[in-house]
Formats: sequence, structure tokens, C-alpha cells
Amino acid sequence: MSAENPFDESELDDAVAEILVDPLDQAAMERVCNRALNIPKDKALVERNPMTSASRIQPPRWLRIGGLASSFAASVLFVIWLSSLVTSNALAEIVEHVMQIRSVKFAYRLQYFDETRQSGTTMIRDGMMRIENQFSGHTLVSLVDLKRREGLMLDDERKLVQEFSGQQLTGLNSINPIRELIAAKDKSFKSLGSDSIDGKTVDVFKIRGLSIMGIGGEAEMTLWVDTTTQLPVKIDMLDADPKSKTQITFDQFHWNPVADADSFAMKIPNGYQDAEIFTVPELESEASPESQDLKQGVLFAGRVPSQVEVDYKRGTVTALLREQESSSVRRVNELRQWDCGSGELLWSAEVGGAGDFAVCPAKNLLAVVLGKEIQLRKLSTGEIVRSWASNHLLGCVAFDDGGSRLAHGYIEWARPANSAPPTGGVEIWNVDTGRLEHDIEHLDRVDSVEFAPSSHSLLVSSTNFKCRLYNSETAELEYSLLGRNATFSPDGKHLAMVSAKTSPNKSIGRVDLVSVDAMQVVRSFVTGKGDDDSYLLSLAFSADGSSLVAGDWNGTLSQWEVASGESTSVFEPLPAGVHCVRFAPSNQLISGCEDAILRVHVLTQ
Amino acid sequence: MDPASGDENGTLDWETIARTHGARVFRVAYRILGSTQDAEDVSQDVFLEAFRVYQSGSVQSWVGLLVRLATLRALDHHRRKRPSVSLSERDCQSAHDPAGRIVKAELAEGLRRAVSTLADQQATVFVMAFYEQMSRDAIAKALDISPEAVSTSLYKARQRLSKVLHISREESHR
Repeated sequence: MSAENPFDESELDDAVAEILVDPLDQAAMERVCNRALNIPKDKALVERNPMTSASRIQPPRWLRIGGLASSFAASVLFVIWLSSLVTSNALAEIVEHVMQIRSVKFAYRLQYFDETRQSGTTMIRDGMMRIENQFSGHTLVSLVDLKRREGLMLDDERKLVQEFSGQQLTGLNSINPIRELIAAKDKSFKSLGSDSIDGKTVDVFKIRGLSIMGIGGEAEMTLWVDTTTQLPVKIDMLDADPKSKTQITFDQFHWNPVADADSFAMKIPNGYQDAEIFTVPELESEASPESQDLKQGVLFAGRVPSQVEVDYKRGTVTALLREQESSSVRRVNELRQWDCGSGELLWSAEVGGAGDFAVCPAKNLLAVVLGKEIQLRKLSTGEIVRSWASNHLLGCVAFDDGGSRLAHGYIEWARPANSAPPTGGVEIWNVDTGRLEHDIEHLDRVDSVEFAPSSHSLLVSSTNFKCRLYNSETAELEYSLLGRNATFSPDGKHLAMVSAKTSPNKSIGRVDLVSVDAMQVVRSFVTGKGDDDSYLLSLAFSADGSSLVAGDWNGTLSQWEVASGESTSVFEPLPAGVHCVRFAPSNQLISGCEDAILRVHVLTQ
Repeated sequence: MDPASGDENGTLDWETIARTHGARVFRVAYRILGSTQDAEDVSQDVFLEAFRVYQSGSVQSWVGLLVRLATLRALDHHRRKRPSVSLSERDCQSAHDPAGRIVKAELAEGLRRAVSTLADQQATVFVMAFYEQMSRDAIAKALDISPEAVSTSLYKARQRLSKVLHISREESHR
């Protein structure tokens, strides 16, 4: 008996010992092995669905009850069951409780920029969903068959009916807290303690890194759970992106309510006419097929590499992948890593709506920012090591040389939206202790941060051509420059930045090379002429500092010899904007382009 | 490391999986159910389900998958019907200490009933730790959860089981 457990555990230990000493039937074990070996040969046995064979095998309890879990397609059930291998405790138990319930009724409210766009009540039972809501002054009833993925929308006042199916259901099915809860089951969560709702004591949880309506990946869920029933009392989903702030609230849960089967019947009443009552957007379409063709210099094709980092020591390239801006496909962003030489994919990881990442090969670390969260992962495997949250929306991130400190920029959007330009700041964290060391506030919107090699300087760049050097240990401003997207040379003696001076020909970009000691521009480089106006997005030095390369939104790639300023390799303009460019081992260059291709360019020098 | 666990990220053939894990699946099922016949039935169901998974793609950890399947299916089976072993049969086997034998048999039976009241993850972790004698890290790896989650599940399982056993004993003494 311990202070925590008032019951005698020695009894439990004795019971376990008794079970363990019970001898096992060796012949039975052999029969089990032999039958298992013969399974592939017995097609009839394999094809018979064990979940429906009443004579021998019974389905799990929650499925037999006809619980909410049976509301989803068999493949979804299977994925959910398998995914339960990786859930955290509390959430897993809550979801298990939910999945044992047969039906549920709740109220929902969908707000866009704090304005209620839709509200109503929903009931889910035995694979059917019934939504009653007000839309544009009309009362609508939607009936959805979740298994068959088809539905009806009825306008009783105007006697109109609209049928829909497949991808059109995505938006409606998003107003489904059970689905959201199951999607959240594998995410990291934080307990916020206890609260009281309608006289009931509830546990409160916060889960980050979710998507609302399948978009984004930076939404968060607040979940209030009745401590007695372990069932949700309220669920709130919020995507606070100031460009598209969306919130869905589910409450007034009524578990296992009595329901009239006719109210779910998918029948079109007499006298109703077909009409487009509501334009249901198709949120998903076919994703681009993925491919690789190293002979053509294509390391990866299929998603846009918005950022790339190279680990010279291990000879790997890591890229952050997202959908093309023109695409209607909504998938979470991914990190993937390849071997530079063979092109072999080493690992991939979903990272929600992550916007930036940094690598520290010295410590085998990768940091990725998702919304307000910073995730530390192993660079070699992508596994999460640790994560923590900031109070700000995060935009860019960088390690210092030794990987002991991490800086990230953040953005503060004006409220109300667009009433003023966004501002920003930089936070500096100690990676080892996870403690915030400095918060440099009230800056212009921060677009990139970079620690100087072998010194304490931190370079902070903003889009309005303000480049500032801070002492990263004291957070004191050391110097201001005019430029943006600045980056240090490997020896820290120079930095390159997109020049504040524009060329007379707008399709030609300009890069300044600054001596760090003198803090003066010592040389300028001009890019090749593009088909469109220049907007340089990425600068990078080679590992020995002798070359500099720039990628432009107009599709041009330019390379120069740093010492002389001469333009070296000539590249064919790419068909779309270049987001990122990095030198790679074996005289190669890696570029990430909006045409969803990660390219390997062999340099001529 | 058990190469048949699939942790090497290789794709194992079904024969290797069946030979390596057949005994384990039966052992888990038997220790939950206490009946050889029931354990054989459940083991076959488990391997049928596992074969479907095998056909659909590679598995991170066969140990984790099979022990979890065996635990859950055995618990389902137990919840549907009581194990067929009767105390009177065990009485006959140890006449020289009938009271001690009966008490131990009751304990084992009580534990089986108590385990069936656990949440699935707690039950799986408990079975892996106590019936399969796996370490905390091995369980975490097999189930792809954190070691802390294993500790918490185990702690809760022990609390619950101790409580249920205690209450059951109190009631039987009335």
C-alpha cells in the first residue's frame, strides 16, 4: 500500500504470480503456430470477415453496440484502431469513451472573424448525421450518410432539395466534433486543469497543430471533459490566423439521446424541387503525383519546396513541402529528407501548417515552427525530441552554430485586421533548458533571423529593408543596415543581403555584400534579367564562402564569385518562382520552385 | 532486439512472423482467459486480423501489434463469457493444501475479471509489463508511445486492479 494507492498491491502481485506459474499447453501453442502458418493458404478463411462471423468471432464491443465508431468507413475504423497505438493516455481514454456511445446531439456555431456565419444543432447516429441550421435567413436540414459519403440538403420553406456527395461532404463533415476529436487523438496536448460548466466539474485540455475544414494545420482545440462521464461537454476549435480567423464551437452535448429513425431517412419529400441551395465548395481534388528523376535533375516533384537546408556532414538535404498556392488540394505540410548523392528518401514527417525550419548538424537537431509551437526534432530521423509554445505567431527560426540557442521571429497582426501594418519581434531561447532568454519586441515584421558564425551577433531582417544586428546575449542593437533576406558568409566576415537600391530595370535584382568589420557595402552583384520583376527570396553562400547564389521570384537563379563579383554559372530561368536555394556537396546546387519541383543543378565550376 | 519485431524497418515474411510470435499470442490470450481452448480460438482470430494488416503494408512493431490484438480480443472474449475453468477442478489437484490452492485460484480468476475492466491501453500495457515481463522502454517502443505514457498507464492499471481485487475480496467474505 502506498500513499498514492490506498489498496493493497501485494494482493495484485500475488495474483500476477499465480497467473504466471500456470503452465502453458505446449501442444496448443504448436497448433496456434501451425494454424497461423496456414492462413495464407486458406483463402476461404481469409476472405470470410471475422467481424461478421457470428459463429466464431465477435466484433469488438464498441462496434457491436453500433457506436459512433461504426459511423465511419471501415478503412477509417481500421486506421483509427491502429492509430490508437500511438495516442497519449488521457485523450485516448476520452476518445475510447466517445466511441462507445451510440448517438450524440450537440449545438455548433461557426464564426469567421468573430462573426457568426452558421449555427445550428447536429445529431449523429449509426453512421448518419442530421444538421439543422440557419443560413441566410433560411432553416436548412442536411442529412448525411457518412458511410456512403452522400447527403441531402432540404429547404422546407421553399421546398427545395440539393443532393451532394464525395468531396462536397468535406465541408459539412468538418462540422463534426467526433471527427475532430479523433483527428486530435494523436496530437500533443496540454492539460489546463479543471473548470466548471453548468455545475459539472470538467477537465480542460488544449491540443495544437490541427486543421479546420482540412485547411491549415495551425488550429488549436480546447476540450472540456466531464470528469465523471469522461465525455466532452464543450469543444472549441480556433484558427487564429489573422488572415482567415475561424472558430467552431460545439457545446450542449447530449449523449445517447432518443432519436426518431425517420428523422435520418434520406428521402426527398414529395413536391420538392432540385436546386442549388448552398454552393458547397469542393475542398479537395487530386493531389499532384510525386516523382523523382535524378538524370533530369529532379530530386522531388509533387509539392512546393518552400525551404531547403543542406547538411554537408551527412550529405543530406531537408525540405519543407507545401501545396502550390494555386492548388485547391489541402494537405498538411511535410518535412522530407533525402540523400544528396543517391536521392534516397530518408524520412518524412507531417508538420501541419509549419512555415519555417532550421537545422543544426553539429547537434543533429532540426527546429520547425508551427503556429505558436516550436518543435525540436532529430535531424537524422525527423523524430520529435521536444516542443514548447510561444505566446506569438511564429515566422522564422535559426540555431546558433553550437545548437545551444534558438532564435525565432514572430508576427503581431493589427486588430482589427488590416487596420495597421503588422509588427514583430524576436525571441531567443536556450535550447538545452527550454527557457526564454530574450524577447526583442516592437520590431517591423521579421522575415528572417540568423546567428553569426562564431560570434554573438544575431541578424534580423524585415521585408521593409531593415536589417539589424543584435548582440544575442544582451539583446542590444549593434547596427542597422538597409537591406533584407540577409545571410552571413561561413566565416562571418561578410554578409549578403538583398539591396535596398533597385536597378533601373525592374526585372534585374541586386545583392549587396557587406563587410561585417567595417559595416560597409564592399561590392554589389546584379542578377540575370527575368521575364518578370525581380523579387529576390533566397541568398546562400557556398561552404567555403567563395560563391554566392540568389533565387528570385521571377524564376532566375544567379551565381557569383564573391571575391571578384563576376557572374559564374548560367542557369536557364525556371518556370516559376524560386523560394529557396542552397549549395550542396559534389558541386551541386539545390533549388525549390513554386512549380513544385526540388531540383539539383550541377555547377559548371 | 528481436529481429522479428519489425523494428528494423524490414518487411518480414509471414512464416517468420507466425513462428516467432505464435507462442507469445497464445501465452497472452491464455493468461487473460485461463482456458486453453479459448486461448486457441482467440489466437486464430488474432492471426487472421494480423494477416490482413500484413497484406496491407509493413508494420512498425509486430510485438506491439500482436500483443495488443491478443489482449483486446482476449478481453472481448472474456467479457462475453466467463472462463470455463471451475474452482472445483483445481480443488482436486491439491488435496494437501486445499485452502491455499483455492485462495490462489480465486486470486488469479479475480485478476482476470479485473483486467477486463481496464481501458484498452491500460490493459495492453499491463499485459506487456506483467505477463510478458517487458521493460518500460520496450513497451514504449512496441506501442509507439512515450515511456512516460507507459508509466502512467501502468500506474493507473495497478491502482484500478488493486481496488477491484480488494472490493471483490471484501464482497466474497460477506
